[in-house]
Amino acid sequence: MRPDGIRVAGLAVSVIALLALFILIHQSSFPAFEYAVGERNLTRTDELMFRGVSSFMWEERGMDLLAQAIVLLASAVGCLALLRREGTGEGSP
Amino acid sequence: MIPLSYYLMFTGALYIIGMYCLATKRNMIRLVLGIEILINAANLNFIVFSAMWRPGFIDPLAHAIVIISIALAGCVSAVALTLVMYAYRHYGTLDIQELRRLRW
Amino acid sequence: MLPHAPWLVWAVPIAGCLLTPILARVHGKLRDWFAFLFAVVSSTFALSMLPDAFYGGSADIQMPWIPHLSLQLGVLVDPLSVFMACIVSFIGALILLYSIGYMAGEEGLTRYYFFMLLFIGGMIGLVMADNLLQLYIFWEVVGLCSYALIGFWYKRPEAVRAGMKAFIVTRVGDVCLLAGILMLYLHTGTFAFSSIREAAEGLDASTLSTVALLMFGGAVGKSAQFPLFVWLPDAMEGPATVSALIHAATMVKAGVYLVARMYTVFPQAHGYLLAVAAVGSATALLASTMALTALDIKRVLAYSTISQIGYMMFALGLGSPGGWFASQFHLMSHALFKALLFLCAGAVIHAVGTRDMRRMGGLRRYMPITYSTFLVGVLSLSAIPPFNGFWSKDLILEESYGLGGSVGLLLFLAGTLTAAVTVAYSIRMLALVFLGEPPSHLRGGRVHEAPRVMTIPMVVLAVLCVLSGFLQAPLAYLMSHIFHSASLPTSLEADILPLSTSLLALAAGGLPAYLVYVRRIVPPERFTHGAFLGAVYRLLLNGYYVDWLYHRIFVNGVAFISERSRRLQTGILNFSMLLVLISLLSLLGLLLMS
Repeated sequence: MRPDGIRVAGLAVSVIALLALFILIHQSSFPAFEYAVGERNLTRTDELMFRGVSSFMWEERGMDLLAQAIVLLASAVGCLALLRREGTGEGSP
Repeated sequence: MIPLSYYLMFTGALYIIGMYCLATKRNMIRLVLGIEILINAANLNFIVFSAMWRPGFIDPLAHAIVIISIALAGCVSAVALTLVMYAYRHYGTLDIQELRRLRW
Repeated sequence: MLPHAPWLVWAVPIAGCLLTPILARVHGKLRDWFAFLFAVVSSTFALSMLPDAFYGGSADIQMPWIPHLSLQLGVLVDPLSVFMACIVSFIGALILLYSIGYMAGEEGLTRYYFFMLLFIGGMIGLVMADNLLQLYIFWEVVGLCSYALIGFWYKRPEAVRAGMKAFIVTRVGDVCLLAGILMLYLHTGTFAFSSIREAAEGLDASTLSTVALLMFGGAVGKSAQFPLFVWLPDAMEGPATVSALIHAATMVKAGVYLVARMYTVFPQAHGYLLAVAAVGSATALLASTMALTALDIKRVLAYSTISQIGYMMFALGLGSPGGWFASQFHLMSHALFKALLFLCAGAVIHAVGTRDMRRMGGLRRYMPITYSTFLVGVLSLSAIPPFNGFWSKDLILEESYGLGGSVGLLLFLAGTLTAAVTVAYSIRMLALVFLGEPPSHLRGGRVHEAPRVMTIPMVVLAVLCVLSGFLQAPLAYLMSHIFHSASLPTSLEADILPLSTSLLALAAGGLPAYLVYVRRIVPPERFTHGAFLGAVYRLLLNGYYVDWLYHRIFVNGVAFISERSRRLQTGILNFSMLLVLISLLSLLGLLLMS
């Protein structure tokens, strides 16, 4: 166990850090606990989002149709691209 | 009731011991043990804070986090020990100061 | 207005960009034409919003996005945003049509169309945005697209370096913009433009001017004004269509749009307006002088863009609704003629194969359509009546003359001097590329005219350049809905002094350039030798050494610091953990001290 630089330095820094930590903990109070109030709900759940989505889908049927058309077009083109005659999945970069 | 600062000094000391071990020891398995000590310090910190929130009440969220953290610590040491084993097989030594190829 | 037009105008190009890889797997041509189709659809939506905005209908439509932070996604249908959306989508559609011909045969076209469509969608989203956070998000999106498109030919190291330089320099501006937005949020509690207008009444003058100057810093970065202009000349490494779309017609106008929007949203402090006008006019003058010596055709156009945007900033800095309108009118004219010039330059580069103007000449007889459209563009740039550049630039000069006082006079003189230099470099560029005798390696049918898919957008833009100057009255009526009280100038006043001074400046700049470059009475090389002229030439060629200075400070400086810090990386794990422990100790010490 020959002492080399890193070992000595590590020991010294650790002891000083330990002392500093102890002094810090001893001195300061932890104001975080005043912020943690017990009676408040930690999470919020509401159903407005679900109701909002379905009402949007019913009322703005045109938008929904457009989105479905785009998805349909994309899937049709993708299927065509996959099932081409000269090979699967080969195309221009 | 043991005051909070004693517990915090204890977990702080555990943390510094873990860091000292990582900073000083040369044997790779000792480094893995140092990582374990660090993780235990953090877990203990969670538990301590959960008990000190209000007297007579212990927050269960911290215990849930600690259970997951212990599982993760197990995984971390499994992977770390595997790496140590492969390093030993490749380099023939358990001394971390011999493995210096990542210097710029 | 078509239903859901304010949302679809930017959602359609973005949906198109996501569909591009799928379309590309079917056939390349399908992807090209679909990209053009998406841009056309987007411009239809944009033009459909125009009648509503023209009669004063404005809307602020919002959708809840993150309710917990009370953030909403919104679009603002307002004369300014509809105007910009029309310009961006229309010119974008024309440029996508042109790039079907220009980029034919390149590899990586899927990436190109992806980023072009994403750019168009992002830019329109930026101008239609209803709150500052959404504007900032789209600001970053267009910055990303600019980086990706400048570095399109990633196998060339200059292009990669230019892309990184553009991204990093505009990042400096973006940080300032974010700081301004957050500071405004902290003081007013809202991001939305409509609420900021009321909330800004309660702010004190120093906060207002700090916020305004920080946001102007963002505009300086994105619009390539002094001192953050160094990225735009190097950004010419990208394809000509990219330069036309991003660096001439749209993205660099984002800064002008931001300053214009901020003008309508919160009251302007005098110091801020002076700073805007000073930066704008200084940039205009400096950049136009730098364009006199540039040898690369796109570099001349890049410096010209910087200079013309300087005009727009300078007009915004005049602080009157008339100046604001003049800057927006010049924005429209500049978008049209600069996109036209870049597209013609692209046709020339496509035909000749090089960007260096010294290897070009006499292309007039081989590329007549390109020559005539380029001539229209150059005449618009030089503000020759009756092209659109004349009407808009003279409106700016007239507004600055009307400001009065020593500041107004100084700005007016700077503006006229810039106009003179603008004519000079435009004639130089025209003469070097198209007039004179073709060099030997270009004769004999080696140079061909551009295909029809490329000439149609150029001709359309040229026709618009001629016609759009006369649209000042309808545009003024459109924009007057923003300023509910003031009326905007619907035509140039026949005020004899500014008009005659600007025409005199045109002659003073044009005549020497004509004599030297077209008539060749003096060889241009005479101006590059000699002690004084040689020094001036080198100063202008190196861009007043601003780029050199930045390179020395940032690139060499960082390399120096990192060279010195090599000793910290010994490769021993224990040493690194010791450093962590030491930093932990210093953190604890810091906590103990405070």
